[in-house]
Amino acid sequence: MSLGDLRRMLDEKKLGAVELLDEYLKKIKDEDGEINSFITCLGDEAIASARLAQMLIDKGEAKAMTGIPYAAKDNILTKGVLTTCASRMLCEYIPPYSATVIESLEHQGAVLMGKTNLDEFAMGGSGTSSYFGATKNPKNMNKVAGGSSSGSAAAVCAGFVPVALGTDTGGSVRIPASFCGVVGLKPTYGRVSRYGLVSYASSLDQIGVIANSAEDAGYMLNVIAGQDEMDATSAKAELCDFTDTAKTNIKDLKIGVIKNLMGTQIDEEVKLAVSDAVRLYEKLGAKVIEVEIPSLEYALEAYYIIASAEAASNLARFDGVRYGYAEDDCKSYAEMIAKSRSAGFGQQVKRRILLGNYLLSDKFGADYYKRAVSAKNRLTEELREVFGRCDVLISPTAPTAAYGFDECDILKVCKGDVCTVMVNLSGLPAISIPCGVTSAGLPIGMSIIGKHFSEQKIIGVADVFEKEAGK
Amino acid sequence: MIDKETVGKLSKLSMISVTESEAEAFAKDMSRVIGMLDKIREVEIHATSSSSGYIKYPVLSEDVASDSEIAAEIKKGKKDSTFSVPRVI
Repeated sequence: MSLGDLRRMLDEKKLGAVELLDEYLKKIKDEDGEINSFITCLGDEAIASARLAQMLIDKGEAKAMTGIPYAAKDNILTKGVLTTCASRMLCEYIPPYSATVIESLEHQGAVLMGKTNLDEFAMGGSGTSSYFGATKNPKNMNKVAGGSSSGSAAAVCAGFVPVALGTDTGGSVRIPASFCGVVGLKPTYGRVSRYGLVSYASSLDQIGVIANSAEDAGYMLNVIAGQDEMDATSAKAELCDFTDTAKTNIKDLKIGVIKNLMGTQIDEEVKLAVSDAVRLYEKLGAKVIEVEIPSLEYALEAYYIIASAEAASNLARFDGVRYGYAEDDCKSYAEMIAKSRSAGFGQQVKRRILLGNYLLSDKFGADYYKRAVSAKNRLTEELREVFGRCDVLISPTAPTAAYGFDECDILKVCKGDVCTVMVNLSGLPAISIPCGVTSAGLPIGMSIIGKHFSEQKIIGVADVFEKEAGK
Repeated sequence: MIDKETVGKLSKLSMISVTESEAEAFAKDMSRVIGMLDKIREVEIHATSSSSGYIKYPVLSEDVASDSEIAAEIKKGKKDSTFSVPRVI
């Protein structure tokens, strides 16, 4: 059932807000033990919110999300509700304020059901590095859910919640969406406020949406988009109804297929599914061209250098004094910080911090960072040129479908971001939608990438595919 | 190639205590990642403009120093070796 359908049923009193919430809570109780998509599931607090929402509905004061349950990734601050970043470091942290996106949803009367699992501090592509245990893929419990927004994607896929917030620094909304067979929207950098999001790599981080359809993603974006004076990087961009996809005209559409992302690094089954999807657009009248983006060759390296460098700086605040877990019984202040950080962070996070400091240090790292920024700027210029010839770009979301827990090799997980990091480096919007399944029955995702602030267009293009492919 | 000694220096810089066996594992993993990242050395450094020009940022307030000559004000609240400051919470 779409978010629009839920809205209609709630407004027409065919469904009560508490009754709707109860159904989801029961499903979580019965099935999430194995999937592990939630770190915190709100029972009584969620029911109280649903009751309040029902009062608004009864008074005829309902807004788009009133009474509709949602979940938020556990690196988005929620006042009075545990926010752990899936780390021992913050395992007892209760924020004194909420992120702007949470406030926007609260203002609408949306019902926060809980906080979802993730790779620790959103670092990872598999969903396996959480202090609270890995998230399993509801499509196949022997496979990873993808990361880092593993819990949000798995929860939507399992039907625990109709929509969830995720965050995307290098593909963390789109990759788990692809692995779990749901939709993942990463808006333009600046489209959605990052205030209250625990920073990983501030120049790349963006809050996004995981939903059952492109239309639902747009429905949620309508609520969370907009400039925010609390986030200096949020943009003054024109807002519109992101679900208004009626204007999407495939016949006038110029689609660029990214040749560099259809090579040997991509599984044959993934390439086939994406090629079939492109052919469908062609059949509907779109003009398809192949485009090459030379700097893509360095995108993955540039991303890992910039993200690790920013992570090393951002995570310096977790020292057991300003924030986070603190070790007792230390002889000095310096020892207390070092021991707290060592015990509070998991291996993946520690490795990224060490790597970030290596890459930034004059002695060891030399000019890695400067070269990465140059590569990022060149990539952005090349994309600007490509978007002079195309309306949207299409590529696979990930080189493979979901893989097994025993296949989480460090380089394999890094290389799993090869199709998605370009979007973060250039601040572009992108949406991942399911476009097929492998012979093993695992979902395959396709990404539709647009110009800055063209979310309405990419949602519209995705919506056409969903409707035509479903015929 | 990153060795255990380099990891030791980095752990000090990062204020993270690392055991001998952890240092060995980090050295191995980081060497593999750095091996992958080394490709970036092929990129020439250009003084190109910032890539975020598509965002219209709001006008921020001017960065002007305000009166920070508050020493005399603080000294007024001195009691023995401590200072009494205005309540903020």
